[in-house]
Amino acid sequence: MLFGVAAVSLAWWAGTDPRLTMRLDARTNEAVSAIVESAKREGVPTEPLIKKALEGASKRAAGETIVAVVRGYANDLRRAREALGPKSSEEEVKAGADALRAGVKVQELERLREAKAGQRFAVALDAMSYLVNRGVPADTASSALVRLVLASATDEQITALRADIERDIAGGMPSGLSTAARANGLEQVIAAADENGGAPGTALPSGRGSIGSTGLGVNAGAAVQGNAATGGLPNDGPKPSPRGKPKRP
Amino acid sequence: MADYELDPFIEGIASELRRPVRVDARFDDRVMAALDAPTVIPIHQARPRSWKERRWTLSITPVGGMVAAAALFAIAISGAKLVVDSREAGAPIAVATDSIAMRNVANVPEAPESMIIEKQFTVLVPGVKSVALVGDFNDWDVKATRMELLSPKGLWSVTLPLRVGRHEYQFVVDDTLHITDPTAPESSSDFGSANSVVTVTRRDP
Repeated sequence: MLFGVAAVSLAWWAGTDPRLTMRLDARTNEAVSAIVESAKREGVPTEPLIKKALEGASKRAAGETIVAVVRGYANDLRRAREALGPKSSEEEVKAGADALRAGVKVQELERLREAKAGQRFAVALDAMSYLVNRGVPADTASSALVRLVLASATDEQITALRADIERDIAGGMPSGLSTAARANGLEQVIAAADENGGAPGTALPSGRGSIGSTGLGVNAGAAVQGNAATGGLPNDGPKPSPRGKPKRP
Repeated sequence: MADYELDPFIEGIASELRRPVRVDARFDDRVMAALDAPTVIPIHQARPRSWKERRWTLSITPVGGMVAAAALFAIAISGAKLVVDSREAGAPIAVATDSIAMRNVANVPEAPESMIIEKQFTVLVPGVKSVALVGDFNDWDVKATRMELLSPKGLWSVTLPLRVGRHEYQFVVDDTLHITDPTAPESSSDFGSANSVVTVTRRDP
């Protein structure tokens, strides 16, 4: 009787997520649940998998499609966890998986292991995926952001950088050019701040954040104004021009 | 008492002690009256204790004890699972608004990743009956977040708390048509239609 009660308890513990039971048909639910259970045993985050299945249900995708997508996503989460290391957080693993799905190479994620202890990079990985979706070549986006993480750029600086790049793209600048130039400028700002004993603002370029001041010799045009180069005033993300949705290059 | 020769001093004390004590004539009556009064309560007639004061004795067999232990184990497992699920779901540590009021909030040098920020979503969709917001923050459930019609021209809006980080979402028109946010960047989706992306960030004072 003792083993019976324990077995029932463990079965409930390892049972199907009720959200999947309510939103998926039985066959799809069984297949997705098996994938989720396998991921849980391997230490891979399962909540992103469940949400991916629910997304498919919301969009009325076929059961086979949902299963295939969830299985592929589970593989990406495994690869991201292997690349980022066992100490990476769930947010970082998910962001890493999204970056891999966007086209970032595993080798770039592995470089993040060299980041300083305590340095977070979920925001950088999100920015990586975002930039690739905005048309920035995956190699350019990943290389730039990995360098910034290793230079100990803060989440606010990276968020501001993303906003600056978004504005550049909306202004007509090629996405890859903006990314490379903005990231290089921020890297130099961080290095200058370190040389001055970490005191912000003592060796910063002008408030307009002219890319030309970084010595790249790039004519960024009058539309360039940056927060990232001046130390990163936080903002809540890009605000596209009222002309409408930015077009992909 | 035996007669023997005593020291005069001791004899004086003894004779004093031998002197009979004179008592009141009614002394005996008073003693007997006191003895008749019901001042002693037998144990078996004591005031009954309330259920809270009563002592209870529980006897249990070995098999019964094992069953009870298994039940407690199951309850403990269930409670632990509830705690883990709530943590995975993301219990907010702090709440802030994405508005001017937030900028006046205390100097938070390093807000945790689980910080919640209220985010407003708006979309212009005239001539429809309903618009819902679906995304990874509400399990893509069309019933979870209904938007409010702000103007007759079809401006719909909703404000809801989101965790700091990247979120994908869509608007669902009349419970059938999925559309993206024309003011937000997009991300390709595995299910065909693209998703809109919003990145919620922390704010410094």
